[in-house]
Parts: sequence; C-alpha cells; structure tokens
Amino acid sequence: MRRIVQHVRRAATLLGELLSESARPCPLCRTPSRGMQLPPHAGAALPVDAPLFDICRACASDIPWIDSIACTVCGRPETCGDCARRRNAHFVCSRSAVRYSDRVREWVALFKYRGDERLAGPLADMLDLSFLRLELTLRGRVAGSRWDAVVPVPVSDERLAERGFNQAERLAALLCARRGLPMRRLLLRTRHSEKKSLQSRLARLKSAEGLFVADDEAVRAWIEELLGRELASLSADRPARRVRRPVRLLLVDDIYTTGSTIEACSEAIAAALRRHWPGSDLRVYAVTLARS
Amino acid sequence: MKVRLYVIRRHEEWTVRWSIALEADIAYWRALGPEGGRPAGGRAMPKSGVGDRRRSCSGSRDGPADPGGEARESEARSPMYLWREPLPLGIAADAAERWLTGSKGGDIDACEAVRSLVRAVAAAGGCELGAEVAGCVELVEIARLGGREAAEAADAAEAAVAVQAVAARLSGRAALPGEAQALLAAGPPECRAAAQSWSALSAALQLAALRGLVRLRPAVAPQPAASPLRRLLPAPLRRGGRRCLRCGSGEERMNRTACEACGSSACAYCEACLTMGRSRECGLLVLGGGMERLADAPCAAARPHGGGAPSAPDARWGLSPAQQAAASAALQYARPRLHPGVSTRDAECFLLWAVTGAGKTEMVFPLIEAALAAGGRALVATPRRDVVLELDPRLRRAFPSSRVVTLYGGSEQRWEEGDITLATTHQLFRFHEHFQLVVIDELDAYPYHGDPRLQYAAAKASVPGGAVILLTATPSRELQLAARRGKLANARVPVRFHRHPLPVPVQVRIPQVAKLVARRAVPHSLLSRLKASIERGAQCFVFVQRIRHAEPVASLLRAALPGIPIGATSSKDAGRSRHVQAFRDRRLRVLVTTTILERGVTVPRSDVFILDADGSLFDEASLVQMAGRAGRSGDDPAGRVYYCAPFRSRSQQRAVKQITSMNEEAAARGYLL
Repeated sequence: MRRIVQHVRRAATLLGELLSESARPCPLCRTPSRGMQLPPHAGAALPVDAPLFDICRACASDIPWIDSIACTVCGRPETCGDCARRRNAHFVCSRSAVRYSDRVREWVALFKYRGDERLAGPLADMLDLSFLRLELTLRGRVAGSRWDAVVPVPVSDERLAERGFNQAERLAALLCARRGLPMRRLLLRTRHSEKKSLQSRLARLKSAEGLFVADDEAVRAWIEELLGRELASLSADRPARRVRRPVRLLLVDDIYTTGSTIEACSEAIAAALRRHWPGSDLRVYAVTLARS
Repeated sequence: MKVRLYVIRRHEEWTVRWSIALEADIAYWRALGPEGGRPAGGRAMPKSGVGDRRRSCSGSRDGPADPGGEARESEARSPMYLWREPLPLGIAADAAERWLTGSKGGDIDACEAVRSLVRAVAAAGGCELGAEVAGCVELVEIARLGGREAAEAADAAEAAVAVQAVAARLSGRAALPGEAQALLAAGPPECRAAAQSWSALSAALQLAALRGLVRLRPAVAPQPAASPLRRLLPAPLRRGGRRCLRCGSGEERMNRTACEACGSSACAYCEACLTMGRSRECGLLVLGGGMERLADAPCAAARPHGGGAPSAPDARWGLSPAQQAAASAALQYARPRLHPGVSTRDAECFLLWAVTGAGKTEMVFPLIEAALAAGGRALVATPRRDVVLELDPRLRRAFPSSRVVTLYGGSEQRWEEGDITLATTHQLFRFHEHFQLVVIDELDAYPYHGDPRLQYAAAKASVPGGAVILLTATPSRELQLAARRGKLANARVPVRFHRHPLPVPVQVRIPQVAKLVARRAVPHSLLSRLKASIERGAQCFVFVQRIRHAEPVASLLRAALPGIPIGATSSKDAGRSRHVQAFRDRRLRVLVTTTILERGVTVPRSDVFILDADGSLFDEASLVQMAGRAGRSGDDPAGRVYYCAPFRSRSQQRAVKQITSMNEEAAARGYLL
C-alpha cells in the first residue's frame, strides 16, 4: 500500500513539474522559460494589453526600461545636447523603450548580425512599449489618433541580401500587426554606408546626410490612398476643400544614437511630400527600440 | 542567394549546372579545349545522334543540316540554355538534381534538354508548371577558343594557380561564404585576392567547383528521399523536410522566415548551428574536396610515408595492462583505415568504453601516433574548452615534431592547418572529409547528450573509410546495445589506472532537496555520513539538480556543520573557477554544485553525495559520471559515493549495476590488484 502511495506521489510531483514549465526556451537566453508578465515598474499608466510573453524571469529583469524622460524631443533619460544643437529638425519627437545597455546590445546583435529571428517577438514587444509611450505623450498634444503610415528605416540592398531581412522592418511589421497600423515602405537607401556601429559620433552625423530618399512611386500611391482620389485632380486653382488635419507618420528603427538617421529620413519624406502634395502638413514621429 | 541555372552541350553530352558567378562558367567553357575532360559535378547526358532532326525549339537557332557541318559546329560552339531569372540557390540545386531523372535514357536533343529543365525547375518550385520555354530560357552561344589560343591565354595560367591555392586552402573544410572569405583572407598571398570582394570570391569558388576541386551545395537541403520514387515528387508535396548539411539537424531545428536574399516567404535556416553563422536554404556551403583530388597539392607530397602504422602501442606510453589491451584493439580497428586510398566497405566507428579515471587520454596517444605514421591527420574533439586547453600541452609534449592546432570559439588558430587538431566538438562542423583519424571524447556530454548530430559531424569530418573512435565512460543505451550485439566494434577498460575497483554507490533515503530547504533541516542519515567523510579527511562533493538549490543547501549545511568551510557553485556562478580552486586547495571542505562539475574534475581524496538522485536531470550516465569523481587518486582509491533520494529510481539502479559489472569484469580479467 505504501508503495502505491509513493508511486502516486512521485507521479504527482512529476506532473506538477511538467505543467508549470513551458517547453519553449526563452529566445533571449535559451533557457526554458515560463510566460512572463510585465514587471510593474515599467509604468503603471501603461495599458494592460502590453505584456511580454515567452521570456524568462532573468531576462525580463534585465530589460533596462526608460522610466523617465529628460529630453522631450528624443526621449532620452538624460539632458540632451544633440537636440539642443539641431536646428530645423524635421521630426517632432522620438521615443525609445529601453536604454542601449550591454544586454540590449547583445540581443540586438543576435537578432541583426547572427540572424536569430526568434528574437523579433520579444524585441517587438519592447518596441510596442515605446509606441505606447509616444501615444500617451501625444494624447495630450494632438487631437485625433490616426497614424497615416509607419515607415521602417531601410537598409541597403547589399545588407538586405547579406542578412536576408531588414531588422527595423521586421519589428515595424510586428508592431503594425499588433496595433492595426498601416506599414508603408516609403524610403530607399541611396548608398551603402559603412556599418554605423563602427563609426565615431561625428562620422555618424555626417554620414547620414543624403543617405535616404523617398520612393516616389510609393509616396504617390500612399498620398492617393490618403486622399481617396487621384492626385492629378488636385490642381492649383482647385485646392483641397477643407484644411486637412496633419499627416502623421511614424518612423521605426532599432537604435537611436545621434538622431541623424531619423532626421535624414524625415527630411527625405518631407521633401517628397513638398513635391507631390504641396500644402500638406506633415508631422513625423519616431519610435526606436533602444536609446543609446 | 540567387544563382544562374543552365544546361550546356559539349560534344556528345549535355550537362546541367548552377553557378554563383556566371562569367566564371562562361570563361571556363570558352577555354575548354576539345580534348578537355568533362567538368566534375555537373550532370551530363549524351546529346542526340547526328542523324536526328533538329526541331526548332523556341530560343534556339536552326543548325546546318549536314552531319559533317554539325560535327564541326559542335567543336566551335557550345549552346548554353540559360534560365533567364536568377533562381534561389536551393531551388536551382534541387532542379539540377531532378533534371532528366526518370528519362528513358538514350540520346537527348536540345529541346528535350530544355523542356526537362523547365519541368525540373517547376517541380522544385521555381516557376509555374507548364511555363513557356521561351519565357524562361535564353540561348547563349559559347564560342570556344581554339586550343592554342586557350593555352596561351596568360590570365588562364594565373587564374589556375589562384584556383589551386584557394582549393588547397579550403580543402577538408565545410564553410559558409563568410567563413570561406575569412579563411582565404588569412591564407597565402595567392588566396587573398580572392577574399577581397564577393565577386572575386564567387568567381574563384565557381571556377574551383567547375574543376572539381571544391563542392558547392545549398547549406540546407531537402532530406535525401528514401525511395527514388519520392524523389520525383514535386517539392511542395515531398514531405522529406529539410536537413542542415553542416550539422545534420533535421526539420525540428529549422526556422522558416521571409528572406529577401532569395525572395521566399519561408526560407529555412538551421537554429542548431546558428552560433557558427546562418546555414540557410538559399545559402551556400562550400565543401573542400579531399586532398586526394588535388594531384599537385603542395602538402600531400611532403607527408612522410613511414613504414605504416605500428600494430601494438609503443611501450613509451606507459599504459597499464587494461589500457594496453584496449589500445591494441583500437589499433587493430584503425590500422586498415589509416592508409590513404584504402577504403573499407563499412563506415563503422569504434567504441572505447573506459570507466572514469581509466586514463582515456593516454590511450588515444598510440592511435594518434599510428595516424601520423601513416601520413594522415588526426582530430581529437572534446566538448569542453578547458579540456582542450588542458590537453594541448600534453599533446605537444608527446608529439614534439608535429604541428598541433587547437580550435575553440575565439582561438587564434582558427584557420591554421595542423597534423593534430584539438578542438571543441562544436568546431567539428567546420570540417568535411579531412581527417584520417577522428577521436570523439565524452561523446555523451552536454550539449550533445543523446544528440545524433555528433555522430553525423564525426562521420562528416573523417575521410570516407577513415577511423572514428568514440571515447566515453557512459555510452548511450543504443551504443551499449549495439556493442553487446556485436554490431559496434568496441573495447572496454573496466578498471582505473590505479587498478583499484570503482567505488560502488550506496543508496540513502532522504526527502527531496526542496523539502529540506523549506524545513531548514538536514536529515540525520545524510549529516552523519557527511561528518564521517569530513573526519576521514575527504573533500565532499554535494550535487544538486537545480542551480537555485546550490546556495540554499550550502547555507543549510553551514548551519548544520559549524566550523567547516562550505562553498556553492554552478554554471551561473561568476566565481566558479575560484571556488573550484579553493576546493582543490582544501580551503573549502564541502562544495555544493550542479552537474557542471560532473566531468573532468579530479580532486584527490574526495567523497560524493548526490542529492535528489532520482530527479529527471540525473540519468544513468550522469550518475555514473558523478560517482566517478570519487576515489580517483592512487592514495585514496576507496572514495565513498552516496545516492540520496526519496525513491530508488531506475537510473540509480542501472548506474549501480553498470559500476558493479565493470568491477566484476575487471576482477575476471585480472586487472585488479
């Protein structure tokens, strides 16, 4: 009799162990994990539908969330020299979810360079939080919450062939799928620049100039979609009847360092819009996964 | 990556090929004289007989009608039917396999060759079924240079030298394009030009492939189909799944994502070997041809051909009788396989089943000696870096006139070539048919526990028909069964070097560790034995299953054993080497640890306590290995081993049985003192 009880007890413990641990490993650190809820300190004001699944407790506690912002332009936790120095910025503001700590650097490297695409999920979850943060900020400022386009920062054709995917586009796609936003690939990269990670700050600021242009065809198609009618019918003596609300566009990238990339992208889109749709009021915002 | 696919006719034969650098192919075909041989690797079919009607297929020109003219024409030109669009590598390779398979044989004319190509590509998933030939294929006439012109072309000679150098450098390796580039960039000057850019590299690789000096493959390929009939099924229907050619992983380790390099929305890449670069369905894997193919390779000639491998281990190795017997058996297995050119029919391994502390490493030395004497290369692979670092000086001392290369993640000798290569098992995947002797140490250790990939890698790294020795104290059940049934050549070393029997574990009943930690109490049965061990002057290993139990158990024991220095460690412990060293120096008397210290650690005069011995992480092999930490030194051969658990599990019983049966065998064979 005792034997049976022993066996039953043993079976029960085994079953308990099995049920409590999901078999899938944590994509960030490869150890078996349980589903993880957002740690409370990430922002009590954030809506509950922002969970982070499938990462283990250890990694979740390692995420360096940006809790408070010192610079309202670029969302940096410290006061910002870059934004003060920038004149005529073409983008309104940018928000990032996490600081570019060593762990985040590791994760982004695994995703981007090693090509471990399973990381897209958790990283996109983090990006989602920067999106929510941006929304919170804007709710106070601007009426109407529709996003007209989400544009990922492109990589060069060479990198695309080498890596097989654009990491910013992957993250943007996941974000759009979750939040129901329209993704539009409006930008092209004009030349293949040296890996930014290997450049000095000054070199980075310079190298972004002229690096991006808008894809004219794509921009036209997008504008037509927005207006609901042919662009050709919009002529000088028949301007749009009502003052259209501003065009809100969201740029997505993985890391924000000097902001020169976001700035160059915004400039390119603004130039294209001036060409194809004079009189439009363009507001460009940006979300990035990490702020370095 | 996207590649070009074509069929070309030369003389009597049609050949299908895919190319990563089309200009290299064109130059090759152009320069090939009429008496030149068929290039290696392509698939060829005889062309149609001269008397056949030449139907006008779209895209081809009508040739002259008279047979004599046609014969002349075939010498001067080779029609190449090129697929217009670049195709993803995986699809092109699959199509090349399928081309003309299942045809009725006999002579083929241009139309049929091209139509078959279209069908093959469609079956591989590269175009629509029934696509129009003209839209897919274009004709390129390759006007061949006359014999003298070709021979005189100066750059042809230079290119030939570079190609030979590149092929020699890549010989015996399995490399992704990035690795190939790094390998060549670190090589002799003739290779470095090829590593400058992708266009230079691809041209060099393609030319080498055409000459048969290297082989180009998709890194992830469809599993070879069981029956030829399945092979004919179009790609989407074939349920074979994918297999990584570099590490042998199957479908379960693949991740499929959208890929811009090939345009597929479900391009598979292998997650198992991701740390060594992405092995992708549309990605290239370069397999160096064996040295045998390089007739003028510089190294092959320099290799000393001694009198052949000795038949018995040399006395200078100082082996015990048990080691001697096993090493001789291994030599007997290895001898016929070490001589290049002699290929044996069976691709079998040899299992050297030596108990913990038997001196496995010393037994390997005579085998290495034999391999070197026969003019071959040896590889010793072991799962852990610290073992590699430990073995390196020993090998160098034992073989002072040989070049020893150590490979592990981050080693500086990554691209060097040696007579003896010492590597972590991970590095095995980078080689292809390169070693006459492959020794795999600790076959079942983490992370390859129960992983068939390791045997795949071992088979892949050894030359066909070479010797593969599997070295372990705890072979898997499959290996044990195969050995017992006589299907696997093997030798057992049932006794430790000091010729005392293995300590037999004693089973002690105590509750689970989690309960002990919760109750904050150490059972008397455990405590008294710990005290006894400490009193007799032994160091105590205390194994626990979970990392999170290590420190709590240590603090529990500290409370129960005041005055005794007790430490805890695990894989997550940053100061692990410090703690282990303190334990070795006897500054710590008890060390609570996880299975990280299960293997390879030799601490004289130690006893072993295994808690939660019935847990799922402690299988038979693990229990035997942990027990093997005790009694290793000659002055304290009777270490004590305790399996502490609430239940007696099967694995515990099996482990005990394994140990006792080894002791019995040792006694029977007279090895014990």
